Amino acid sequence: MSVLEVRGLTKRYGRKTAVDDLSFTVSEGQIFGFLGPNGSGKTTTMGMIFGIIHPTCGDISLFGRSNRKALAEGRVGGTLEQPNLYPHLTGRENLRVAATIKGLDRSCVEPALAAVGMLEAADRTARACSLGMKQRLALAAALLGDPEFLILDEPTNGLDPEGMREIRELLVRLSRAGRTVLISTHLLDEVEKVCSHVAILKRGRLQRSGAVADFVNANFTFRLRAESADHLLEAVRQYESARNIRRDDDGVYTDLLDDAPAMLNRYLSSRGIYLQELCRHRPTLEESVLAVMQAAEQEES
Amino acid sequence: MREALSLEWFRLRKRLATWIVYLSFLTLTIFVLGVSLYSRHPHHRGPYLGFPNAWEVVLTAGAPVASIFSAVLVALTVSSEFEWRTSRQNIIDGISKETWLLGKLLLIPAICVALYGTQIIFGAAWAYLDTYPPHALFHYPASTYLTTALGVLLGMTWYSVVALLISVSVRSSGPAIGLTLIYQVFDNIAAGTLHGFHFDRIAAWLPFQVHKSLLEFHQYWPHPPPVLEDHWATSTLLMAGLLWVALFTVAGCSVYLLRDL
Repeated sequence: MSVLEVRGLTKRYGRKTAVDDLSFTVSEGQIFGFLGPNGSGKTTTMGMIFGIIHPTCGDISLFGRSNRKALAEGRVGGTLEQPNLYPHLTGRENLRVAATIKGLDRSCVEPALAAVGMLEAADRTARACSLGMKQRLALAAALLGDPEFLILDEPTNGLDPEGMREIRELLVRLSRAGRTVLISTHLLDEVEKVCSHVAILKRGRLQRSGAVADFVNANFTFRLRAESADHLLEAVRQYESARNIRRDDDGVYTDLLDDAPAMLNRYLSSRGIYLQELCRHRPTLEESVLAVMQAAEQEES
Repeated sequence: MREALSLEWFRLRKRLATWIVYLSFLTLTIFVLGVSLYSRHPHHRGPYLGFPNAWEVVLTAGAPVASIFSAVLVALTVSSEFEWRTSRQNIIDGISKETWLLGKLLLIPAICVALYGTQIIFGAAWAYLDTYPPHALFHYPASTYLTTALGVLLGMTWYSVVALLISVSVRSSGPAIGLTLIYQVFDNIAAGTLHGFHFDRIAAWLPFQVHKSLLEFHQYWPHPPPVLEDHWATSTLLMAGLLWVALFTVAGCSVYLLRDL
């Protein structure tokens, strides 16, 4: 069952298009990573899902109905950008305000504080809390009422490695309990560890979306090494089936349209280049995302 | 609705800035009412001070101060929600934009009543303690004092609604408070210009001029002398006040509802 459906979503500010004809679906139980560089339209999209930014055109449905209805029913929880707290109120008071707004009993505050490890610091004013503590409080507020769908914008921002791990584990626990999570972050390593699906945005446009496993596997590439990396690079560039060729300290990387490394080896041998290494390389999510970004860049130019 | 108001009140009273503003208001109230009441003491050969005559001073002497401070409190409360981004978080948490706005709109009369109530209680207590054996010269019917109180509250409400409009437009507490205070300067200059061109009747209808009239006791006299300048029929003045409150409320609500958060 789809929890979130976005169809043809567009947001323009005058001449500038922040989000351009965006369509994607988040299904029940997924931890969906929303990726992209700064200014790619992630927060604007999330703002439109939350109903605080008016879309120029397009449709958003949450649980098959309008986003405002789903929000009012308390089926969705989340945060946008930095933790949005009343600085003069304590953590506990902030959560009480959120609970009142959500129409919940105050008794739900303590379990939410406990879930994010903020029970001991709950009587500190938000002003006196570190960014990491504020993040935890914001997450606790989002968890109030046990919403079916969590939308979190950079939830690990400002957290120490231990805090990141705790949040990661919490997200996984929520997913196992059948909750759906949409998470935006710059930390691709984090995404690879927790997300089941991703969507990549650039300049407001969706570049790719799908399961993380498919996404990484689809980006299998070949790594080659030879005595002279320059000659190798030059030769590979002239090979007909080679695509997305790049070089780094480890060697030369290329995709092969015919998926036939033996043919490439024979071609290179005929040009007097004898390979020291030819292997399939499974890229990290970070490498795959960067490859998608580069491909988009090349397409645009 | 009660919940929305109690939530607003909770957030307001928990804030140190609120109490600083309130203490400043109290200090100025003591000063303004003190001067007004003391100047009427027999040592100064002023008119008789004592009830019911003292109501005039109690109801209107500190009204401009109460009006300014109610607007400042509203600007501080509303614009801060945008700075902290709690206005958007409240919507994310499931409240509708209309309900959020309703909470702020309900807060306006609550603030006005709280500040004006402070002045009335304080002024009345002072006047009561200072009352000496009566030799009352003249006093008005109770309805005049009641209408005055309602008129002053209407005037305060208008200024607070202006603060709301400015706050939802500029979304920053410093500029919001500044612009709210400066607004009266623009209005006075516009009125002065219109007076210069002999458009006195139009000038009197400008929002801040109506506001000023609402805070003047003589506007509520049942039988004003014909020579009194800038005098409104009480019902017309109240209608003009209501009109401006309605217009500024609609403008404030429209700006908030139409803009992205």
